[in-house]
Amino acid sequence: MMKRLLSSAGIALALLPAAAAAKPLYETIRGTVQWEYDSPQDTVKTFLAKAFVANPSLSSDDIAASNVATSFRSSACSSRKLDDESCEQLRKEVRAAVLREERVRALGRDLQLIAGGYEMSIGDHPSRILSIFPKFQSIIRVWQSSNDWLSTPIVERRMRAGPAFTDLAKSELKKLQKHLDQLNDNDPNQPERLTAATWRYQFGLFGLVNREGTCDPAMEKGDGTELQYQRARWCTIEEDLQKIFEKVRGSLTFDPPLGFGEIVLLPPWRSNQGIVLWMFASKNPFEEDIGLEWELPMEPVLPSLDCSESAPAEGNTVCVRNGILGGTYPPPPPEPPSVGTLGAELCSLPFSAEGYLCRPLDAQRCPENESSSSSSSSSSLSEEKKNAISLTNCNSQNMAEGFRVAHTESGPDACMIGGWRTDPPFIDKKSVDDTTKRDPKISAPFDCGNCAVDIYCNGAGRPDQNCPEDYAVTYPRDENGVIPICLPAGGEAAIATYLLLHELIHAQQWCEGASTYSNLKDCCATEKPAYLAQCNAIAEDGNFAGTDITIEHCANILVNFSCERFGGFCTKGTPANSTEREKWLQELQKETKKIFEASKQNIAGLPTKCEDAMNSMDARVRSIINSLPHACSPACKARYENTIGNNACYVAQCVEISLENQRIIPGRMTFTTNDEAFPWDAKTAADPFIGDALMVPPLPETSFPAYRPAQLAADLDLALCQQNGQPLLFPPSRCDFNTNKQLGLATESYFELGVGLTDQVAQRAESTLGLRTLGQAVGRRIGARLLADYLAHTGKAFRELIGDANLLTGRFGKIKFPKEMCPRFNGS
Amino acid sequence: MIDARFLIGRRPCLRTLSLVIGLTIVGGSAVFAARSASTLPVLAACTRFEGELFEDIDFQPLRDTPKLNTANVLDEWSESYHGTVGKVIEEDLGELVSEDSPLRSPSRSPRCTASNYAGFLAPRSELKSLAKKLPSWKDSTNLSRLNQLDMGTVLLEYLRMYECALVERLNLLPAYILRQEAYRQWVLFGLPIPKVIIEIPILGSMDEDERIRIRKELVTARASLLKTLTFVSGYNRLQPIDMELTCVQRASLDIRNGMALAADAASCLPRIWNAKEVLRDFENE
Repeated sequence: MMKRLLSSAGIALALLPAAAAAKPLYETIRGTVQWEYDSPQDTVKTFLAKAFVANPSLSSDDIAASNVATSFRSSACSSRKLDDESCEQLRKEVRAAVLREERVRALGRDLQLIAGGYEMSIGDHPSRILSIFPKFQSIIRVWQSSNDWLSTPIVERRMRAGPAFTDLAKSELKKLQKHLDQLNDNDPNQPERLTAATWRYQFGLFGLVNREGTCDPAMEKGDGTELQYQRARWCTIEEDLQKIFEKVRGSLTFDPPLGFGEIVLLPPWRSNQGIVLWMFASKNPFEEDIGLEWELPMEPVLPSLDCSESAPAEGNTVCVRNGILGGTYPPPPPEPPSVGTLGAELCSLPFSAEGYLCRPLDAQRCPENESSSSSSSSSSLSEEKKNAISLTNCNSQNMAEGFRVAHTESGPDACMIGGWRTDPPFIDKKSVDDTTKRDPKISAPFDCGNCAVDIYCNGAGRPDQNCPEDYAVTYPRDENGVIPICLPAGGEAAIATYLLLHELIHAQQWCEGASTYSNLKDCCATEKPAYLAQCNAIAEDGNFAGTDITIEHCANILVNFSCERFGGFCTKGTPANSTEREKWLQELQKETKKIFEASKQNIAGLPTKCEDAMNSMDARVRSIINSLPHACSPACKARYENTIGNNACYVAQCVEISLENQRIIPGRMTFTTNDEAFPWDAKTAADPFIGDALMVPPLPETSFPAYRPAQLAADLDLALCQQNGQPLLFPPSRCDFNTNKQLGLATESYFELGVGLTDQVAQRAESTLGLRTLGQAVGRRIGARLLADYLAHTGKAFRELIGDANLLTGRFGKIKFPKEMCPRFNGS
Repeated sequence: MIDARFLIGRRPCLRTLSLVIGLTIVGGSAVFAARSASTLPVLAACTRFEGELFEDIDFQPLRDTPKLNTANVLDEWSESYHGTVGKVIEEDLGELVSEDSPLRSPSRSPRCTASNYAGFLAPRSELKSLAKKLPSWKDSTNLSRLNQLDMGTVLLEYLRMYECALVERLNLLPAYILRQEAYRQWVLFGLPIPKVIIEIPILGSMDEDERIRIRKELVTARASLLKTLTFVSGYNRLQPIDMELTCVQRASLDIRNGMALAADAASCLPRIWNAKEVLRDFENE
């Protein structure tokens, strides 16, 4: 018997939650359940011994004995000389207090299990059991062309993998392990410090230091309130994390060098308690961080009950006799900084920052109930909005102008923006040395290309090809095929690299035959891609963080700024009158100033002066210059990263060159390509039998379902009341009991009446319990339905795209190049 | 060997009366008529006397093993049940690639060419071997439709079998204890008349201990499994998506390679058109 008792106690102690070594999932949960079964738990016993008001005070053993009447009598009542009735009364009060405390803690753990399970699969770190977001990134990386970042309206998060840091910081990791063990060993029955410490650094150490300042050793003790460990800091752990970061970061080298906006993911490290150490590295120090998280986040930070080792602040009224009393609401935790700022906890993590909680979505068509400019006053919509928590913010104003397919006189201009090639251009097979002055050596187009660019600083070119102080200018292609680009010499108003990016987009346009614009429509079409690239670069370097400026907004404002001289706005059309025009101009000036102020921050530390920008040219600028030569001219090499997008760019440019340089209508070759050999050539109809049309799936509208928890809760309450044959009452617990139902029935005696009234609750308890149990399953179905609806919608377009890509590549293999000219299509 | 210390200072209690009744029941028990599977209700009964359908399940009475002298049926059942559940859950989570890394490798790669989800999320080995033991799953039709997402259903069925075994034992506990101790003594010592009849107080104590343990186990086993399934189902809701993304990753790499070959071939396009002129038509070969 003794043996069994001791072995059971040993098993119970060994299976305490978050014990020294990490156990498998099921074993851990089972251990917690068994530990909770052995009521009362140690934490509660210790707390109630301090907090329960009795004279003399009850001891932990007295609390433990409250389970069994005889044990309690001998433990607590005999010394107090209480009679049987008083003793039983006291025991019931103690037992009720024990059950209340245990119920709160069990509920906390259950809620954590539910939330933890859901969050396991949606995390930023590859340490999670399902690493969905890193997979998204790798798929995007394989599909994307290298110039996609120039034209997409979001900041691309480019990822790289780093080495495991177990080999880079062995001794530091051992020290961290030791300090984490010490947090647990202080009191193995109360792992709350270890639990809290791990949760505290889940969003990263540096973000926490930015928000709350450096660590003070006094913070380790807690402030003696229920939430003390949610706000505590552990300086030894923070020092260990700092040292590990410095050691690992100092050892990392990257080839090619890290660019701005690139995040390096390092494989996480796992301690023997199942705590994971993660780390991100980046060129931008604001995007680097190191932190901890639970491998299996099952134990929450429960309200603290013990303040024996805490340092309560003055005026603390809840820490009484070393126990923390309930019944008073502690001050709420501080609000995180506004969403979208660097260091704003969840939104500081690289993947989460892309989510809809952290940034507003831009879409061409916004669903009605999510439109930012919704002015509907219909009662049904306002009713719906009342019960809806909208987690998304959709902005359609920024997308009013829509996209135009880039084309030149001879047809579509595939991948016109450039930036997808890595091989530098040559002139007469010699490398091009572009100095800060106008270079006489650059006097011919690049090999295999239509043009060359010659970038120079203001004042170093031809007298008639200068530029103002704050603006760069791209001049049309000259007779030698050279496009001069003048950059302002210096100054704070503009960052030279961003200006250069903008002008190179124009150079690309002029290179393909576009000419200067003379009306609003052409101005908008020409300037929009250039400003999009410029704003993308500004955003990627972190200059828009902390503001409400998005890339699309920036591009629209600046294109309006450039084109308003043609009498209208690209995003709004022509103003109705001069008053409206004045109003638009004022708003434009205000927004433009905001954008320039943001870009002047120059967080990436880019060169501001022309000379510096040219001597240490940014990789993004260089990639656009590299893409100026044609990709598919015979005997010309092209080099690019092997992605689907880049390959598609190459194939498209090859087809484009073929169509532009070869005769596509059967007949003898004339002096110029596609010239009329016969008078009726111009009227030749397209042959519908050549090739098949491939419908490109449209971009899906981003649409998130409305989340209506208040409505769902009201529906559940209604179901509860309906089950009991009652209308919806508040609070719903009133539906459990209906006095009139019993009073309406005539009973023989008052006794039966009384029994009938009290039995009502018992009768309904079973159905209420059933509904409560069902509620969880129903809630899960509703959540799964929301997710399924969203994924079916957005996944459909991607599925179709993969199907089409599969079809295309399959058909490539079946192409048979004809040995004869195709016959003319005569229209029948 | 029963510890002689338990013989000292024990008083007969009410449990002895139930033991006597149990003896009567054991002595007078009729042989249950075996029924075929087709006559069983849809929710199979969990009694272990209902024919050969339940022969393969765990939770059998005490059997002759090398550790018979110290073997405890409840310990064996508990170890078997929790061990099996633990293995199935861990297999679902995936194996840790190393002790100091939280990364896990799935025990099986997704079958991207499967024609339906049953094939795509084929059950893993531990789950499959558990399902084969359960009467409601061992049917070949049901087994062929089993997929990894049915893990919760299979485990709940296994829990039901376990609870049924425990409840059945609890209801006839004195008889079971008597039978098992008689069996033990017969196998170990060859006693023709169970010596245990003399040691009724010991049986009373064993009965009391087992009742407490069974009651605790009935409460904690279900709670543990439900909480585990709550946690597991949270991340499993995205497991199909995760596996599909793995397949999309692979498909993307294949498409990339295909496009690279197309790009290679496309570099010939500008030249190929040159052949298409009246003066340079090639004759049909």
